[in-house]
Amino acid sequence: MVTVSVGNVDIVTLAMNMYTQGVHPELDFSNITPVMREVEYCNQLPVHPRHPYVGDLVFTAFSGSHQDAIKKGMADRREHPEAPWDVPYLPIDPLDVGRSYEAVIRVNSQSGKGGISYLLEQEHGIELPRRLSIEFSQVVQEVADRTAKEITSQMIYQAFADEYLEQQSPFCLVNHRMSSEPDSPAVHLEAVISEGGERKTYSAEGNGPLAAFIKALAGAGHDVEIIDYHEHARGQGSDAEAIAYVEVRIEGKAVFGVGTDESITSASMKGVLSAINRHYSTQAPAANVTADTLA
Amino acid sequence: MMLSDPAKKYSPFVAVDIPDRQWPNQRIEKAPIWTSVDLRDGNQSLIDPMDQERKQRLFDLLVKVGFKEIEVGFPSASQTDFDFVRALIEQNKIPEDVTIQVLTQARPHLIERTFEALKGAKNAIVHVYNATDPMFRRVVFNVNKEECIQIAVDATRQIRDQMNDAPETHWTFQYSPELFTTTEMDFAVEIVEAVMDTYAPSIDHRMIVNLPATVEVATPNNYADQIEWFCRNVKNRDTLIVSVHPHNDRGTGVAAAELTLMAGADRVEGTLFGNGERR
Repeated sequence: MVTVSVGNVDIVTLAMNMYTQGVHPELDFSNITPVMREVEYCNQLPVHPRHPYVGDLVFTAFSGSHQDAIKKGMADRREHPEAPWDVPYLPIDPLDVGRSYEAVIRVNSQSGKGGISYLLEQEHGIELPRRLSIEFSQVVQEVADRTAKEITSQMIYQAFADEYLEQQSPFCLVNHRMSSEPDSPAVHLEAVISEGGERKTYSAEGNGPLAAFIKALAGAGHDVEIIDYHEHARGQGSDAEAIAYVEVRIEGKAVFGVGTDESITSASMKGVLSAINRHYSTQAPAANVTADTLA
Repeated sequence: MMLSDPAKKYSPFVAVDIPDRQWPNQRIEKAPIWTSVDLRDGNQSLIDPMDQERKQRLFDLLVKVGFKEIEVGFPSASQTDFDFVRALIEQNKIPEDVTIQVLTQARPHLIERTFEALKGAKNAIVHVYNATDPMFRRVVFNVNKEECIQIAVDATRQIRDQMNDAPETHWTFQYSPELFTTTEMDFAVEIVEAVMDTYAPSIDHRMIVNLPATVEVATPNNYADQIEWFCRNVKNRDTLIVSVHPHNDRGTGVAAAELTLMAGADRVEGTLFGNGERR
């Protein structure tokens, strides 16, 4: 069959266009990112980063004047939470589709998001997934605002370590043990986790260590859903270690965590705990800049 | 190379004559019936078509998001599609309130195979199409208007009879004049009415008439004009569910769908994030 592929009409855009006119489309895109990831998996085709309502970059403001207007609009909205949605440059509240507004700030005229990612990759072997790099750029911006200095590569790495790798409270992985039967994908996992200094043992079975870990956490009352996962080796030879970037959904909010370890299994579990710790830390993650958290 | 005078090669779309069009004054005030064609039109356009696991995952996602009508394949044209439809039915994977839809060409043995695929389904839409556009009639299929109508009517009769032979399924019939937007509007109405005469839809048992922009060839207001013209001129409009199926050749698929809803369409066929092919 001849395949001439320009595409069908996009029902997601149609539905959300209707929604932002106040008409419920009777389809549910409250968690639009996992929907996009699943469709990308099934179609083996990427969704464009600027695709309306869902692309990785559509809730991202790069320009300082836009960010300023949005910040003021959000602040006004906090004062009038019942008023119709009217925030500059944002036709929809990102929270309605399970996203957050992300102010991507350029560290200086030469750097910005690309610059930070480039330095982390070249000098520290850390390859941030795109959405994490958007989020992290705000952390760096806070450092820039605080120090009012030119940001160095070492400062960027330190900010990354503080924000993600050193998040060990309340949860911290002490050790884990895995076992599996031959010819079965099922893994039995036992993880010892220090929770505010008290050691607890979590165990569960799942298809793979991460799935088992998520189940073990759920068993202990921590419902966590993996939205996105990336991993790679860092360094070479016997010094190589694994780094895992995990985006999870906790209590309806998407949060990133990062873990490193010699073992990829431990790195991924540490990544999940890093995300949980960031979620529970008293200081709101810089990335989730929303009407509720903007000062 | 682009021509200095493209008019020598390309002619503009000729608009429908409808000076008293009403659709520009309308608003979209309720959701249409959404029909996902991800697993059929979408799947046909993939470099690597979905395997059973991916199809099942996408089907489950579509159900979770809230689709009540899902076109699941072209079972008479593809064994993979046939097997997938069978698996959905035999393994009871279709929720009570979800209707599956399958596409078939208007050819007797393919229609028969389509019904084999649907055996035991609780609810199903049988979607048959034939090309009605003058270029396709003349060059691709070499049929005149009468022969083109006969193809649609024969297929409709066979589908109606096979539906009557399998009363355990709640059936819905769907007909598409493929390439509707480049078909003469009076001929589109004529062939749809001939199909209606054969199938005999009623207000209580409506049939779906799907009017695709198989290739998007004009600004979206033209599609809306055509839908309004069709709805105003077809007989017994209230026995029809009028469906649109826009494509995005000119980058205005979403706009076209919105304007056709203003113009009276009841239903939209499309895909998540706009993946997809034709028909």
